[in-house]
Amino acid sequence: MNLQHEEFGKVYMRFSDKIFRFLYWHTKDPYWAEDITAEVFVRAWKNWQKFKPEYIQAWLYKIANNLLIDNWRKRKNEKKVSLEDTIEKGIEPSYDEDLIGKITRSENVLKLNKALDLLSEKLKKVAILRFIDGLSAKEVGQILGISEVNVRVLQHRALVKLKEIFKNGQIF
Amino acid sequence: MDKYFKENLIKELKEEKVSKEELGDLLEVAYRLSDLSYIKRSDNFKKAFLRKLNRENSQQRIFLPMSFPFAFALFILLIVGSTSIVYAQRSLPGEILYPLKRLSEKAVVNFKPDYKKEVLKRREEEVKNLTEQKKDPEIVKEAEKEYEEEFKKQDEEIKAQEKDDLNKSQEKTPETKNEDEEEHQQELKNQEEEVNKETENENQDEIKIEDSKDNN
Repeated sequence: MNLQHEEFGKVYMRFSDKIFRFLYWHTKDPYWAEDITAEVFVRAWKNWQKFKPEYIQAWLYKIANNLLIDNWRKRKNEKKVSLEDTIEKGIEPSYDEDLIGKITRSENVLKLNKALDLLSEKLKKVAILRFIDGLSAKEVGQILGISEVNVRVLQHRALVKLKEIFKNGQIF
Repeated sequence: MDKYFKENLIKELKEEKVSKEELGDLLEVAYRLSDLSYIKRSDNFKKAFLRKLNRENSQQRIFLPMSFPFAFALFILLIVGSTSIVYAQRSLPGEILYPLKRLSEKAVVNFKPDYKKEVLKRREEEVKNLTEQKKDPEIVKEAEKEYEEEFKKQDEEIKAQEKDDLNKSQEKTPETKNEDEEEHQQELKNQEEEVNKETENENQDEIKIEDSKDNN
């Protein structure tokens, strides 16, 4: 394993769970989320030379976001292209079945999935990136292509909305 | 949610003019969401992915690093091989590179048959050098035998070629025969014309003589 691969490994170990969570909360499918996560890092590895270290996180999320949009479009045609792609590229799909088991059995996860579904797409993304993945307002702004001020406004709205959802018992 | 994150969030929500009461509720929601950060794949799972990726990457690179030493080895072999052939030309029967010399001669003869004459000269030269250098008599004897065989072989080839050439020259094709016949006929005609001309000239001369006699 060469130095570049070692550096990439560290990045993967550090960011892959965040990417997985981001994708899971959008897809609600842990298998699909893992497939796209793998695809994100395969693409990242292929373009590793072009990476600027200070923008790695934003870059990974952007790839993930783009792949999510592509996959949503393709899923309408009932094609799991990313899975086929990863197989073609020689990376066999694999899944952390223990984690998937925990996620699918967790009531809390189920409720929060429902709650997030009641948010608009933008509020949902901000809520996931800011509170579940723990990114700063500045980082969220970089990923979504909006200003830090805008992120703060959106995060406030998301929290207010979710508070109402929990209070009103809409997800119970 | 770590302390730093919490402090920043509070600061940001205050900037949005959130009341103290509401702040508590919103922080509770934020806490609930941040609890979901427990969703992590195991380290073993992640390392397995990296190994797969590394394997895929290695397979893609296998051709390049593996082929370079191979190409380099081939290059060295070519250099060594060609140098050996050059040095082999000076070798004599019984020496290590001699078989290489004979092999290279055969290769040249295949492309250039006239080179056989040169080969014969080389065999002769070898016998001469072996004798001068007082090499093993058995080797000298063997070299002489080789020279004689080569000489005999080439001599027979030359004779066979000459005979072949002769047969070809004597052999007439129907076209050639017709041409020769025509040529022969033309030649006879020319000869006849010449004879006729001479006879006429002679007759003319006789008439002239007769005329001169009459005049006298």
